[in-house]
Amino acid sequence: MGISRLFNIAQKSLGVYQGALDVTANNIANSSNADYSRQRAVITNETSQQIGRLSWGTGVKLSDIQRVRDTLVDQQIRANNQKYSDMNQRNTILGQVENLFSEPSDIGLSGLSSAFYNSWQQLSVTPNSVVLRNNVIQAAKNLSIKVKNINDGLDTIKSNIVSETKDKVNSININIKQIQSLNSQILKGKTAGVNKNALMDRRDKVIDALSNLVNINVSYDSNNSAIVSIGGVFVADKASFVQFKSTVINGKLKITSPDGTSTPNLNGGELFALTDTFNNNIPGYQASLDGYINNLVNSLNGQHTKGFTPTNPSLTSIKFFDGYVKGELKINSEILNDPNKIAISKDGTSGNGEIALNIANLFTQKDSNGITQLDSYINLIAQIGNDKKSAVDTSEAYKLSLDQLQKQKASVSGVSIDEEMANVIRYQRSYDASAKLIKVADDMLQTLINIL
Amino acid sequence: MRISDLMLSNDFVTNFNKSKTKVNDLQILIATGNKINKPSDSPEATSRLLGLRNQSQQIDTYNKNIESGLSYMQNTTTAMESIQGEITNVMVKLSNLGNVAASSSLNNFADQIDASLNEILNFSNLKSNGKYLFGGTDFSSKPFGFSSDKSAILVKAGDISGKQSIRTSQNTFQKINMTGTEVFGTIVNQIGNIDSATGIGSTVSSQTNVYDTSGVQYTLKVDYKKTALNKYTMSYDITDSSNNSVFTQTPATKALAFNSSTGYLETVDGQPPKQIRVKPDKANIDFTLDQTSIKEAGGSTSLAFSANQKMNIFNTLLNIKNSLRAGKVPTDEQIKSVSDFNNNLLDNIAKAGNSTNQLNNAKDMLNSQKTQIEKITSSIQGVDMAKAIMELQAQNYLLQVSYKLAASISTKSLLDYL
Repeated sequence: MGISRLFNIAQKSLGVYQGALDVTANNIANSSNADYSRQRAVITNETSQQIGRLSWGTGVKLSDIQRVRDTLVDQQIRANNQKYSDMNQRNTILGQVENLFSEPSDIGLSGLSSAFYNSWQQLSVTPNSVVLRNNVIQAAKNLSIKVKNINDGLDTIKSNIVSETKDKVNSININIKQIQSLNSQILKGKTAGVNKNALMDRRDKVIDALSNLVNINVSYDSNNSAIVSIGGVFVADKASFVQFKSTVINGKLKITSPDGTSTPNLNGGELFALTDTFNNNIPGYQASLDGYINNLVNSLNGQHTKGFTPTNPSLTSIKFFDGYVKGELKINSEILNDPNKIAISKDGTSGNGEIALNIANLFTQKDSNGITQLDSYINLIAQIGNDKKSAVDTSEAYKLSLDQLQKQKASVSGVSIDEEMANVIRYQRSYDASAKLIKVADDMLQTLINIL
Repeated sequence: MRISDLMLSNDFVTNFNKSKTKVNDLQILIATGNKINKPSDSPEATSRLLGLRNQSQQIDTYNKNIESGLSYMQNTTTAMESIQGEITNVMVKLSNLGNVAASSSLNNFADQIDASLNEILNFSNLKSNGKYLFGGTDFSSKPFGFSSDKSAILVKAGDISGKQSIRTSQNTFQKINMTGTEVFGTIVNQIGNIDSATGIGSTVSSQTNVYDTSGVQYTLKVDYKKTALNKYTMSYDITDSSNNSVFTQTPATKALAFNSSTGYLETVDGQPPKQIRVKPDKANIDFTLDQTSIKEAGGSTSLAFSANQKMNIFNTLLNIKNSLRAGKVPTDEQIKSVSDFNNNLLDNIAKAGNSTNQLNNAKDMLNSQKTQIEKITSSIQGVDMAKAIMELQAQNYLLQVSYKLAASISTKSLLDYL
């Protein structure tokens, strides 16, 4: 046992504390990097040496640089991410739909419908007034323009959803590819003994991004490779990955593998919001709107065809609306050209406006199910309002728990400058002491040399 | 719990955003004055708002209807009052006739009556808002005018009995015109009962005198033939003094059905009972046959007519004028006819006054409904400004505190003491 052991121990310890300071420096440098997980220098004592009957310590070593991360929180964050981004995306789309209807205001469909029916009401008082007849036509035109605007708007939103879905699927494909490549890099790094903490941080970031887009399931194998599946379909591990494409088949927006064989079962993430609103919500609103307009057209024509015009000779069986085709409410062109073709006389006399009275009553007349036309429209608006409101409320709830989880994650993995500075002091002191030790060993050696 | 630096800044940003969102929401609230700007702000309140808005628009329309109705009623009343003024003149002149003997003076009277007749004719053809006041619902031509040979005044329009109604609320209608038939027409009322024990296949009849525009007498005969329980076929005909029909084609029969328990007339040809206009082609006869008040009841048949059909006021005056020109003073019957018309006209002026009152009442009711609806709307939609402003101030205060806090995040750490 010689003085050189002192040198050895001190020298090792200098290296270890310099390394520990290195780790601390890296932590401090990344203190504002939200994706960074703080790292910890794991310092352990060296295996001791048995000399004689005594066991001698041989100093200290830096055994590992650990990434501090709570995988349970990670999983919860991803699960919440899927729900939150789903609701948030719905919120955006439904907000656009809601705006199209411009309710509650005078320029909404209900206001314009009221104005339309009231114009008939007024015409019934002075049936031979051409001004009032033109008012009816103008009100019908306003109604028709608004109906077309809404239908065009819904179509635009749908086509935007299709292109946005394409973009999202592209992002998903890129993320999937990255996960596979990071998996393989991490595996290679592990075999080569390289620190893979930075790679793992990057992989976590990509997986988090993926969980924003779509519902995913992540598990880790013994080599710490992430195995990711989307809606029950395997997408990436260390060796292989799968790509997707989006298609519209029979009016339904679908995500499939390029050969169309596997279809993930979507239930979360922005992609689910896009496909679900495209496939279910918007067609539902369109069907309700079509029902409302068709009902309006049929009931109005039903009355109007019974009426007689004030023209000479008096005409009857004239339709007011040509029909409602492809989202367009068409007014009979004959009526557009000649307001006197509006047929509101029940008995053929020019001053009879009974048909107009009947028409004015259609809006608030109960049908066989006890529902008025106004009710059916109000139901549609309430439906859209409720869908949007529940998306807003749910997204807020998920946002709250997501914030809480992010806080937990930051608590576990975030860098605390105070803590790091304390470590700096601790490591620096240890470094100082080790250096002092070398001086002491040197002095001891000097003393021995001087004796000679 | 371990507090990392990221947590502090994240927490701050989250809470700061919450505060800012609230401030933004409050600012929109105060700026628009509306609690509900989108359906999703409150779907159930939006539903109510849409319903209320529709009601409010409907009330506005009803009010416009009533305005039109009132002005129409006003014009009708004025026209009737003017006619009544002329008729009063005529009646004064007719009563003065007794004191005059000279035929030249009679001619003078004839001129005055002719002038009154023309005035009355003008008033009867007045228009309001493009509609003939007494034209019923037929505005295709003037309601009244001279026949081509100027010998009589005839109804020119196809039908002057049409009622103009306006809707003054969801379920109420208000008549806004006095029909030509009501004011100028002559109505023959069939009254009395048909014996409910009348055998199927038997016929009950009734008859009365009717007159053409020059006062020639004809006979109106109405038959009711029982076809089944509570059901009758009604047929009618008008014959001249030599018992020849004045119809080229016999008028179509009508199927009458009586209510089996009350005995009242329920339907005519499957429709609610309506007066029948009788206008034969071979004589200048034009009147309205009202059979809507007959009943089927136990006991004996007691069908009758309330009165003989009288000549209408135009032709009565025309005949008086012609008589005067011929040097004859009008008959008592002619004078009574004028006075009857006057009474009827006064009745109608009173009825128009009633209608006007009813319209005004309906308007008052609508206005109070509208006030009520506006009150409810503002309670749903309106923002409590004082509350909103207080909340905004509180939020602004919180925001300022947040700013101060932001300034103190991470300013001090162990670093500062080394």
